[in-house]
Amino acid sequence: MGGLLKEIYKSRTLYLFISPFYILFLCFSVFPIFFSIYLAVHSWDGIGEMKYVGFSNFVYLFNDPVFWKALQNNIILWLLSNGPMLIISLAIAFIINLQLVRFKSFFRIAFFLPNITAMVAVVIIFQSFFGNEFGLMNYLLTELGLNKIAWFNSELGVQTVIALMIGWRYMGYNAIIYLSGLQKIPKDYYEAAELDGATLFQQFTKITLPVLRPIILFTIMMSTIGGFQIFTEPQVLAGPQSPYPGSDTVVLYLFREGFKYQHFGYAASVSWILFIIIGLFSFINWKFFNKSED
Amino acid sequence: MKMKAYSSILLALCLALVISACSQNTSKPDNENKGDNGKVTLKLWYWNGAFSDASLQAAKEKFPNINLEAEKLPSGDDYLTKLRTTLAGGGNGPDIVAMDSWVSSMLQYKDQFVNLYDQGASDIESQYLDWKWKLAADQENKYLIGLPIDVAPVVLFYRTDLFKQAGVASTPQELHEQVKSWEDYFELLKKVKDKTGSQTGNIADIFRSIVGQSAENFFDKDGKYIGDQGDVKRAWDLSVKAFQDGLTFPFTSDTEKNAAINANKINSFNGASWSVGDLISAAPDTKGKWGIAYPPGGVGNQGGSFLGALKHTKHPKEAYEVIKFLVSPDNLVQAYKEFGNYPSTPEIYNLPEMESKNDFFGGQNLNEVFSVAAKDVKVAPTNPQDIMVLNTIVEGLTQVDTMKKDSNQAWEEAQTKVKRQLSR
Repeated sequence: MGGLLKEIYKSRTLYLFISPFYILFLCFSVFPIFFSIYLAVHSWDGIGEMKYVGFSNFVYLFNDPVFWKALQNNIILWLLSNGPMLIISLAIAFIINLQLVRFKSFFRIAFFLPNITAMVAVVIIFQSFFGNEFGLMNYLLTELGLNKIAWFNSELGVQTVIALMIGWRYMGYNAIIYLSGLQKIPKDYYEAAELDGATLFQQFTKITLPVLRPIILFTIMMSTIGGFQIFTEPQVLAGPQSPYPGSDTVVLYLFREGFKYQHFGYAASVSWILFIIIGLFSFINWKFFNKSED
Repeated sequence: MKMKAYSSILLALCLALVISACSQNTSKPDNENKGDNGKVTLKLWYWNGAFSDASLQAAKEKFPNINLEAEKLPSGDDYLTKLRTTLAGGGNGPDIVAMDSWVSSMLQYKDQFVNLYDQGASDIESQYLDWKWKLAADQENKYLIGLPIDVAPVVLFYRTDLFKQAGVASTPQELHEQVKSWEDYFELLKKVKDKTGSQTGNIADIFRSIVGQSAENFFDKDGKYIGDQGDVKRAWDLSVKAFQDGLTFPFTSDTEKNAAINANKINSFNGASWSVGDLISAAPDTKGKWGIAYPPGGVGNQGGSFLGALKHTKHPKEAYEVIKFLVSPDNLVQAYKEFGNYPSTPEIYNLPEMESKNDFFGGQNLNEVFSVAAKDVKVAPTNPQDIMVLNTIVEGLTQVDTMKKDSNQAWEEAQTKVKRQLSR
């Protein structure tokens, strides 16, 4: 430790140069993290006195059916949005990467665009698109002679709409990541496979997928982390009202408890449980996708 | 080496600047407050539309010895969060703050506010609506944390043309006399629906309106939970009945609701005075076809703000003078003319300036209805847990509509959830 400090002192000018980042990082990341541990075992309304309550926040949490429902919704939303989305992203990347596709950069930009749109605006557009009575989607359905679907009246309907929003937004982002991975695969592999008479499908399953494994792991990890932090979509979708059926996620639950009902201590303990859940799922992903990396 | 030394100094300077920009500047007010010219600086927080900017200008002219720094902040939840954060940090920041109808929830932290009674607020109490004044006072009426700005009485907004077509009471007069209770209103809605196919606001709107006009809501004045009985249960049952009779528009998003209003699918709803502006911008296609009337079941209040001073201020006396001026009847008339915030001082309701004939409402003088309604507002004892209870019960209620849940089951589930929350 002493040696480290000595080293730091020796190159103090350099450390001074990078200090703005560290000071901000200390104030706005490290401090809040430790403070939230402290907060998690207290009861605090944000203004009054903090009261030490031990683990009772966690006891309340584990016994709260609303929390378990939110977690369940969250897992469904995560699977519903990320499963199909990652598969389609990979397919898109594979197609863009094919020799015969022209205007590659156009497609790259076009697929990436949704990712940089303002999320709130997107949610509002999806909301009117899927409106129960006056939505464009239901208009199209009735034009085709089908029945209207009350999208926001059932859990599955709401979850489908949210999953579509997430899929639409992150498909291009993941496709670009896959594409960069695909471009790193040496051409010789494919040429050799072609000489041996492998079909396109065989090339995809026997070369592309195995080589791409670390990148697939990365995208799955990232979408797991993102998937458990779904917040804006259900929040904006329902507006100031209570969440639509099936769209109460863990972060929404945390936000409501903390900032609407002023249970800041409790919200902090929810955030730590969320941290553990995300860690757990990331670990499972990692084990699952890394098992044959011998 | 010299270069290195210079750059270090430069960096250290930058850093000092960054850090000082982050921190609350505590030394500055002292210098400014007792500045050379003896001017007192007061910082004021408000949001756009809380009161008129013209009044603010007038205040600056009226108090030449006060340097009034008004900061316009984003309204809504963001404002409340910022104020709460400030209070959590010891209330060091603004001297004067605008507060919305959540003012009562601030009474539990009254120590952080200046007691305006100490500054002589009792002298002007008689000018203001009594129910409004009491919202910012503690139970014993000894501690006052804010002076009233505007009120937001909830009245009945209705489509005059659709009501006429259905052959039911259709003038404000007739409605006030014939439609006294919610049962009367539902009878009327049935006829209107049969003739025109239109409906009223959604199931949650009805529930909120009835709760809003009740003498007791979710907690009695001692803080005991009574949201599982009495007026709340009655409001629930009436809302469910209206829904089951097909009188309510399906519960959905505001976009859908606005589309429905434009498509003549909604014949009436209960709205606060600020709904006037919302309706005009949301439903341009229905211009001239609306009217307002005294609401069925009595008058509730939804919104309206206050001005208070934080304890931390070094100049409570000056702050009070500024507040008193900003909420004086003259300035409230100004705000009413600018954006329709209805004043909380009844003495001016009959002034000619208050007349507001609105083309959107077929030239009806809206003031006639609001001035009567504002005096009849009933307010219930409030509790910091009100928002949680209201949210939870409304969530259960909407599921009766959207997910076709059994009403009794939804009621039981909502009550269980509420009691669980209250148990900690």
